[in-house]
Amino acid sequence: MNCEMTRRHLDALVDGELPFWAAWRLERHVAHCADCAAARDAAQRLTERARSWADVTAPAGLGVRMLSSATMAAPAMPARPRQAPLRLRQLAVAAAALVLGIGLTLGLRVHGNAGPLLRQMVKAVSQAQSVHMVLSWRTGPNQDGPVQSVEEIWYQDGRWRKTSAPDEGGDRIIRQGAHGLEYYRYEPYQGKVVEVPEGARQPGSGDFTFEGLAGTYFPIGASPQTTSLGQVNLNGRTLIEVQASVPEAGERMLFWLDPKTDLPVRAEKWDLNYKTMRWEMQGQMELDFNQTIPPAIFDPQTLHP
Amino acid sequence: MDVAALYAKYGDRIYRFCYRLCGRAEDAEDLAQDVFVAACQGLGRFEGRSSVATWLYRIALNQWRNRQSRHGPPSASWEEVEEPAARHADPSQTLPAEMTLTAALAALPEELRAAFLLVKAEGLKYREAARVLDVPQGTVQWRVHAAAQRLRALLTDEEGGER
Repeated sequence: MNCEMTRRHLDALVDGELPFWAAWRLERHVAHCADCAAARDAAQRLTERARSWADVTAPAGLGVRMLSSATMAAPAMPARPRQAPLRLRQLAVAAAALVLGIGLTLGLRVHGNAGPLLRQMVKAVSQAQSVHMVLSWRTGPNQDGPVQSVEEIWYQDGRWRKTSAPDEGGDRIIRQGAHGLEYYRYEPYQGKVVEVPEGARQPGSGDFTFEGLAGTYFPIGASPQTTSLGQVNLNGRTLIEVQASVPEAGERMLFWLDPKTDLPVRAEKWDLNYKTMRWEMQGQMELDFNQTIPPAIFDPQTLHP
Repeated sequence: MDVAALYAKYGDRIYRFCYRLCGRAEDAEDLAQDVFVAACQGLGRFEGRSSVATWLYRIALNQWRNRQSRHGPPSASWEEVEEPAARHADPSQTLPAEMTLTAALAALPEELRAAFLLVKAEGLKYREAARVLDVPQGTVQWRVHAAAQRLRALLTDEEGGER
């Protein structure tokens, strides 16, 4: 979580609109960032002022005038039952899973020529006691506009959890089914949401595996060029920031290495792009290793806050 | 529920929202009256797919937009109108900061102002505001954030140190 992303969600944090885990992630950043803490306080102050602003009551007599007007107004025609509208947005959110799945499966697999940095990344994954991965993306069918969603995977000491933010209709791509978490996606050729068959599940979607996680998000093609960007302070820790890029593919990834172990403790990728005639997806990915994840994250009660 | 019961339960709340939209008591009274007349006419068609309050907020916004398209922009600018808190509250409580917020809100585009008022002033959840505005929940979140960002910038200019 960087400052830009934090600021973008501070109002939602103050409004109590973020899921537990997203709020925790933001608060963790704010606790170590004085600028973002000040921005959070400013957001809180503005909310309090807005709530008390122009807090008037209806004048006496308005009710009488209103009732008089309402009585004189012609009664409405009986309504015909309306057909439920097509839930295009719901389908679009489910489509995000499809598009993302394609991106993960085809476009971002680790390549045999991946550079030393990426090998360090694989090592970091395999040695991690805890992993937190956040995927956020915007997508949608061209005719229905963009949809935003966030998907997160948590792993710690053998326990894992995967969830996704609800869309505006309250539906989720990942649902708790009779046999555990079930994964749904929009199938454009069938024109409906379908459950992904067991055999088609990708590693990491139905079951958390380090192999599945480590084998994702690395660019295809030549070994990336790496550039050290120097020391940075991230959440109270001094780390080495390194950029890995594949210019010909327009791919860029940032890593933060622990100077003691030379292993990444965090990685970000901001250009997860995928586009077809009907779908567009722009996303980003964040990975954190070996942070202390609150046990509440794995509490089923927090799945539907 | 008949219209009298509707008004008894939601009259203050809807009037306050109308006041926050219009910025002037006279306009707010007319608008609130229009809202409840329209609600009375549409009560039979209300399907209960949203809460009554959400439905009334939506009517209020539609009526407000209709009035604006019929009559054009308000004859008085927001800077000239009476300060809402001054009419029904203790005048000594009317702080300069409130006047600044009024002016800053007036500078917002209508869609941002409506989202901000519904969420921050009226206390609706993003999902409820999305139903009122007929936009996705994510759009509400973005509009509230954009509105708050602009307001904080404006208030910083006038008050100093707000941010």
